[in-house]
Amino acid sequence: MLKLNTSANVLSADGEIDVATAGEFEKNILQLVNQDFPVIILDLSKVSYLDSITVEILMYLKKNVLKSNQDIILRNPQEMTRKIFDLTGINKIFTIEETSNG
Amino acid sequence: MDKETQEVLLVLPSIPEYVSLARMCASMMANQVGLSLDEIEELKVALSEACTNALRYGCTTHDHYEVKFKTLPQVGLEIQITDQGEGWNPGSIEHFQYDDDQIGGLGLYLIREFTDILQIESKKGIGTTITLQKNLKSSSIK
Repeated sequence: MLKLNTSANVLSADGEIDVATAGEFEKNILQLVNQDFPVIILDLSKVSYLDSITVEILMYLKKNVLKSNQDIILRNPQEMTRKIFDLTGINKIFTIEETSNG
Repeated sequence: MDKETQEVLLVLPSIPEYVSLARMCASMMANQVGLSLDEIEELKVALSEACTNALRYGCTTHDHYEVKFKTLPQVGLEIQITDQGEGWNPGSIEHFQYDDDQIGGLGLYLIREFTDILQIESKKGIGTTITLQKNLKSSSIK
């Protein structure tokens, strides 16, 4: 189960992002991309599970969708999410932000 | 705790929402054999990747796939994911690199990273069985 909440340029996800919910997650990101925010923040602090599908989405966005003046910041990923980002190189192509209240 | 081998078989419909059920079952059985929380999280990712693979490539002609859990006392947990799809060549997506034109292979890469043993048997027209195993660390064996 996944809950998504958008506030300005911040998309907050709460729950699990997997094969069942990734489509909705991607759709919500694309809505922010299409609003031409220069920086889009994905708050992952409450994402208890994600896997390669999220990585594929992020890579696809970076390669094919994001404009040259747009970027995505990944905020407060949990430990396992961080491990997946490190293994797949996501940490090298996106900024990962750790905030003190995350 | 019963130290005998125990098996659980899930027959899952080819509906993505049921992958979370497989993860729940993996958590319970992995906890039973004594895997740590971190190891269980890794196992859940590996299992989900295999289930996603079955949904993508194995359920094009069949409406279900199977997930069999087997406790290995003092060793760990073995999970078999079997579909009756068209089969594929595991070697063809063995490697993953971000720069690849096709991102495929990422799921298998994570399965390899998060398991101790991985076997893939795939035959064209028959289907695919992915067997993965997560072992207890020596300090966890009682």
